[in-house]
Order: sequence, then structure tokens, then C-alpha cells
Amino acid sequence: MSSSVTSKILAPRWLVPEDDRAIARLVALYQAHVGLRRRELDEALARPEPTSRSPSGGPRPLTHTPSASVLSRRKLELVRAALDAHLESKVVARVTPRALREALFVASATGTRSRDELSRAFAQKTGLSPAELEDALFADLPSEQVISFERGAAPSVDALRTRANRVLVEQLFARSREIVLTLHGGARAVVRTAQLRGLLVSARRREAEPTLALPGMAAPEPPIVLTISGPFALFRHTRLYASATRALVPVLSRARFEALVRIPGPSTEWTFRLGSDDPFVAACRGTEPGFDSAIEEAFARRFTKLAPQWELVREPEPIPIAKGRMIFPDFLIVDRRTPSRRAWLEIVGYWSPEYLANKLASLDEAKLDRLIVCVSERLAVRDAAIPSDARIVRFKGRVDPRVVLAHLESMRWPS
Amino acid sequence: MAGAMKIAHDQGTLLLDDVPAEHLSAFTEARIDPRVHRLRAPGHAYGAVLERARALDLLVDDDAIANARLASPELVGASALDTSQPLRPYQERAISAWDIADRRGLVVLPTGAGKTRVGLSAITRSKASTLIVVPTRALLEQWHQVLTRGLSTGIARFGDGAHELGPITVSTYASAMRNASAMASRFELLVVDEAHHFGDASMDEILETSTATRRLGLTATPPDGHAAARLSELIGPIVSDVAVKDLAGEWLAPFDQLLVRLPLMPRERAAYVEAQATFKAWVATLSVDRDRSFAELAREAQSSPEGRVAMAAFRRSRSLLALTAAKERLLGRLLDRHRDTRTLVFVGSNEAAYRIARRFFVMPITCDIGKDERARALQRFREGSLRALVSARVLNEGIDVPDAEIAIVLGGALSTREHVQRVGRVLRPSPGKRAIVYELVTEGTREGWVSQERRRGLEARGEALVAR
Repeated sequence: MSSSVTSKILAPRWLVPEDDRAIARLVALYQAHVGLRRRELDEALARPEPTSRSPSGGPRPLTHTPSASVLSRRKLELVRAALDAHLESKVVARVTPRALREALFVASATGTRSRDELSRAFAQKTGLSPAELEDALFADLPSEQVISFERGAAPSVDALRTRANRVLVEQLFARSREIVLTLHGGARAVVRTAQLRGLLVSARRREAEPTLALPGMAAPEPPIVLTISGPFALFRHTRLYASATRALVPVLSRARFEALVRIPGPSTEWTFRLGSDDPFVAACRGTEPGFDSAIEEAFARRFTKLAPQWELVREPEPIPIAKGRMIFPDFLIVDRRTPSRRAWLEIVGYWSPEYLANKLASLDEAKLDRLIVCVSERLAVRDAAIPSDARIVRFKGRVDPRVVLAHLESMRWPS
Repeated sequence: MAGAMKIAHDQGTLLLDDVPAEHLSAFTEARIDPRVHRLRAPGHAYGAVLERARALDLLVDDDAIANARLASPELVGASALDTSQPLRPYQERAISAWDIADRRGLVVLPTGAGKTRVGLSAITRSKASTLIVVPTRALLEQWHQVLTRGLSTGIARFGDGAHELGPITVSTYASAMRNASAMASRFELLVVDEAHHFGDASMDEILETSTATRRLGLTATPPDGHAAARLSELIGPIVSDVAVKDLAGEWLAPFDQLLVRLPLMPRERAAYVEAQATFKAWVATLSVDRDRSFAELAREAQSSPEGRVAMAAFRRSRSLLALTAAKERLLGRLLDRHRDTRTLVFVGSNEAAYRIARRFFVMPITCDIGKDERARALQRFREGSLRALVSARVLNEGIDVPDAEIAIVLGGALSTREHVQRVGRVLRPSPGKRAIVYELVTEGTREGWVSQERRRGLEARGEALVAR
């Protein structure tokens, strides 16, 4: 396992700047194979390195333990995964391999000429040497394609190291049974991503720690603790949620967090601890999925212009509901003139039926007294499925801010 | 329904609500999920949960699942199929046995005996939304064609780039696994092709999450031990078991097996001995406190330079045995001798397949060859403008290879399963046909006992359990 033991909780074994020389050598090996076939790179990587028994000299090994200038096998795999993501490959052949195969193999099966006669005849016909011809025969196989770096250049060692660490975190998440996240903000995006991917999330506020509040400053909001796992995990550990949990990784870069990742081993369970100070977060920035943002952003822009007297708060504080759960509404709308006048707005775009059912049930349970639910007509949601107290806005494509405003203005507010 | 217990579907699991407290313990498949404070059961328990509710006289509201089901398919071709391709007696017996067993069970039939036809029959009898899961993209294509030809248009494909869901959907295992939660509530009937791949937990989630109450497994080679028991839970018991010997002569072509023992050239022998010695020397350094599978051994090897050298030696010896000079010479002679007969060459690895393809200009069928090219090659093989195909694994399972008569086995895995499947490829009957299976084995290497092991699989496996 790629980790070092610190009491019962493990820290992932990160790639660190001390690994840079070894990473640079790996990049150089890749670079030396640009323009060659992928198979040749694979062979170079698979070649057993010199061992303590073999004569000294020769190429320096890429992996070894425990010397600092070489990578452990596990780290090598991570860096390779990061590097491979930057690699392109293309078919290089002067005749189309598939057409050549068909013509040559049919001629071989139906004619009487020997293999070598055929090879010579086809070479002549295509203007190649017999050796070139036979090279072209399978030049389209993945292992025979010629490799190069995307945009012509290898990524920097720094970027690779961070990227490899992100791959490490994704792999830990993918193998997890349960992930416990302590979030100082940004909880809504995480919850949303998790729920959209079919994961179960339970949320609670962590008890506020006694801190010395400075005069004139509000005490910081206590963090939210999310426990995330897949429904089927109740019965046994499964890889069903590997891609769902992996999708959480980019969303974490939004705010400070700490994660405990629980991974069942053959006899005991491992817990990995990682957080926003760890050296992978930089590789996540700018890669967060932009899910419902299009509809919501368009609405926010148009609503703000139309109704400047109402303040539109995006991603407001979550609202606790029963049994340790919380809901995370899309918007809170506050009357600037009378801030006690406030309503919640939820935009339900294009989700799976199960997600929608859960969402509506939670909203119903939250018993928000002023709730506006905007539902896409594509979803064909029956009115009966929407919380009975809510105002409903049906929309096609985009949400009309005038309709929302009309609902706000027709609400009866406590005097 | 007031007072009814509710069953809802949640991502491959069932949520049971409003179960009367006194009956909670009756639903042994379900557990309290502390995360949501509700009773949860795996999707495959749906049938069992319904049965228990019925036995307890409980009202059940499972509209949530009924609503998620895809519509029943329109099987326009079903009656024509029964005339054009009537069920053979043993197929009829198999499907009847499945019917009697409440449409849950495993049908064991040799390769080439028409498992797909039995699958089609299960669909026409059930007239229900159906998901068929298959191991490879090649089989996805083949099932799609057979279903389209035999039953209905608009057969949906999930996998190999397609993402369609329809009343009859064919999916690869890989895609079904990735989308298990989304597919779990959609289908009433689940057909599992090459069902022996399940039961060892690696992909069982496809079967565990599905709420299909009707299930049919198809295989030539059922697993045994723990996997067999698990398969019986997840699909159903073996309802029909027919072996090659039961069908050879009438429904399968008679065949001869020729084992040819070949030597290593002195230089090959030296290289083989050296590689084996390197590998064994490393294995001898390992602690003997437990048995290791080969995969575990390979993983352990990665952690030391010596281990990696040993694994490289092992790969060298395997590559050497794949196509020795003697094998190459004899293969050339056999291809020549049978050049007018459709011949399949089976090897141990894709690499060996390409070596033979280059050496003898024989078309390889591997996972790297795209589906169009593969379909075209099989078409040419059918017409006779290609006479031989070489493959490592793609041709092992399921793919209909018309009327091949000669199989040449140069190498492959230890498993008897693989061998039975390969031999099955040349057993499709035609008048006057007698198939030949050549097995080329290198003397004084591990190929000798590998061959003995795998041949045992062609012996009878014992009598069928039901409905012979």
C-alpha cells in the first residue's frame, strides 16, 4: 500500500520535490521515444533495471528502493499515468494497413504463390521494400502507433508531480468504502456532485470549537462534516462507485477540507487522511465540473438586472432537516428593504428520476415556508410530486426572472 | 395504497418502507441502513421480497419499480422464428426446464449447440423487457444481429460506443458494470451469456443490483465450488446440462483429437532452461508460509529488482513456447495440407497471433481488430476467400464461426474451459463432416501437463439435473 503508517491513520505517500530528478529522467525516456512506436516505449519501461548483482555502469535504473534519486514502483506508475494522459499516438504507414491486410491475406488464401513471392509482388505494387510492407501490415495496432506529446511538448516536472498526486487521490477515492469530508465552505458543490452520481451523503455541523473571537469579528462558521458512500456499500465493498467517488476529487479544490478515506483491506481497514494542504490540490483547480451552472448563471444575471431590490444569494447556508441530513438550496432571495423577507429558490434541471425524487422529498421534509421550485418541462414532473406549499415555475431552456419576481411579490409576508 | 408496504428502487438497491414492525425480521435479505434509517435490500432480492410479502399477506406498493420498467418488447418475428429455426429437442427441454423452475436458472450447453437460440426463446416466452449481458464487444454485435434478425427491430445496444436503452438491450459486461445502478430497475428478464464469468465477486454487482425477477444464464462450462453456489443464488440452479458427448454425431459434428509432441531445438532448450531456472530461483527465495496465485506472485515480483528480472524471464519462456521452430514448421505444413478447408489457429497471446499472421499471412482476429474489419473477415471466411484465422481469445467464446473443420491449438491457458470452448468452434455439424483438432505441445515443458489438464474438460461432466 502506498502510504506510511502514522498510528492507525495513514498519510498517502505523495510524490515530493525529492522525486523530481527521477521524474525528469522518466520524462527524458518518454521524450527519447517521441516519433517511435508505443511498443518500443513499453519495452524500454519493462526492461529489468540493473540489480545489485549485475555489473555496475549501464543506464541508471528508473525505479529502485530505497535510493532517493529513483522512484518506487508505485510512484512510477502514478507518474506514468500522469504522463500517458499527455501522450498522443497516430498511425504512420505509407499504405493503409487494413486494406493491405485484406488484399494480402485473401491473395495468400486463394492463390498459389508462396509467402515470400507474395510479399515481393505486393511490395512492388505499392512501391515499398518488402520490409517496409511488412512493417505497414499492422502499423495501426495500438502498440505499433507512433507517439508524441500533446501540443508537441512534455509537461513540466512540477505539473507532472502534482498531477501524479491527483491520480493517487483519485485511486484512493475509487477504492474507498466511505469518505468522511470536513469542509470549511463549498459543501454544496460536493453534496450536489455526490448526489448526482448516486452516492449517499449524510451531513452534520461539527461542534464549534471554542475560539477567541476577536472584537468586531464574527466567529467563523463551524465546518460541515459529510459522510459519503454508495447505497450498495451496505451489503459489501464494491467498485460500483469508483467513478462517482473519483468525480469528487476536482470539486474539493474550492475550499479548505480534510478527508478520511476508508479502504477495506484483506484483513483490516485502512484509513487515509488528506487535506487542502496536500500537494495535489493545484492539479484540481479549474477542472471542477460545471454542472447546472449555465441555467443558474443565466437566471442570476437576468434576475439581478430585473429586480435590484432583491438580493440573490447563491449557494446559501445549508438547512438541517431530520435525521442528520441537510439540504442545500440553490438560492436564497432576500428583500434588501426588509431583510426578514426571504424565500428559497430551487432550480431543478435535468437529473435522474431518483435524484429528483430524493431532492423533492428532502425539500418537502424541510418544510420551507417560502419555496419556489423551478422545474424543467423536460422532466415531466407531476405537480403532486412537488412540495405542496411550494410555488412552481415551469421552464423550457431558461428560467424567466419575471415569473419568479411575480411570485415573490405576491407572497404574504409576516408584518 | 394505504397500509401497504412500499418498495422503491435506489441505485441497485431496494428501500422497504412501512413494513409492519412484527414482520421486520421476515425480510432476511434486508438490513436497516443507518445512513438513511430505512430498510434496504440488494436489488436482486426483489423477487424474494415480493414472495415473503405475499406469504405474510401484506399489501405491497411497488409502483416505483413498475414505473421504472421499460415497456414489453414487440416481438414481430417470434412466430416466424419458430418456423424458420425450430427449437431442437434438447433446446426445447432446456427452455421448458427453465420455465418450470420459475424462469430462473442456468442452461449448460456445449459451444455450437445453439445457446443463443435458447436465449431468444426465453425472451419470446417471457415477452418482458430484457437485458442481455455479454463478455465482449464482438458478442454484443453478434447478439444484436441475431435478435434483430429473429425477433424485432430496434434492439438497443449499450457498450462499444453505443448508449441505447430499449425494451430489449444488449450490453457488454463492462458497460453494464459501469451503469449498473442506472440499469438495475429497467428490466424484468436478465439473460447472462457466458455466465461462468460470474460468481467470483469481480463483476457480480451486475447481477446483484438488477431487480430482474426472471433470469437465464447460458454457459458451456459452469464453474464449481463457491462460484457455483453464488451463481445459483444470483441466477438460479442448473436447470439443464448437456455435454459434448450427448450431442456429438447428431447435433454436433464428430471429431478426432490429435496430440502432436514436438521437441525444442538445442538453442531454444538452453534459453528455456535458463529462463525457467531464473524464475524458479526467485520463487525459491519466497517465504513458504502460504500458497500464492500467479497474479499474487506477479504482484510480489514488482517489489524487488530480482522479482522483476524473474518475471521478465518467465515472460521470455512463455513467448518462446508460444511459437517454437518446430511448431512453426508443423503449423506451416498443416496450413498447407488443409489449405482448402476452413481452419482456426488458437494461440496463447495476441503477440503470438500477430507473429503467425506475419509469418503465414493468415488473418488475425484479436481485440485490436475493429468490428467492421472483423465482420468482413468472418464474412470472407464464410465465403472461402479466407481459409484460416488465428486468434488468442476472441474466438474462444460465442462468436459464430461458420463450419470451420480444423482447429490447431498452439498454446493457451491451463483452463479446461478455454479448451472446451475452442474445440466447440469446429463442432457445428454438416453432412459428412468430421472435424480434426490438432494440439501442438512441446515435450519436456509445462505444456505437457497443461494439455493433459485441459483435455479432461472434454470428458462428460455428469448427468443433467432436471428434465432430460
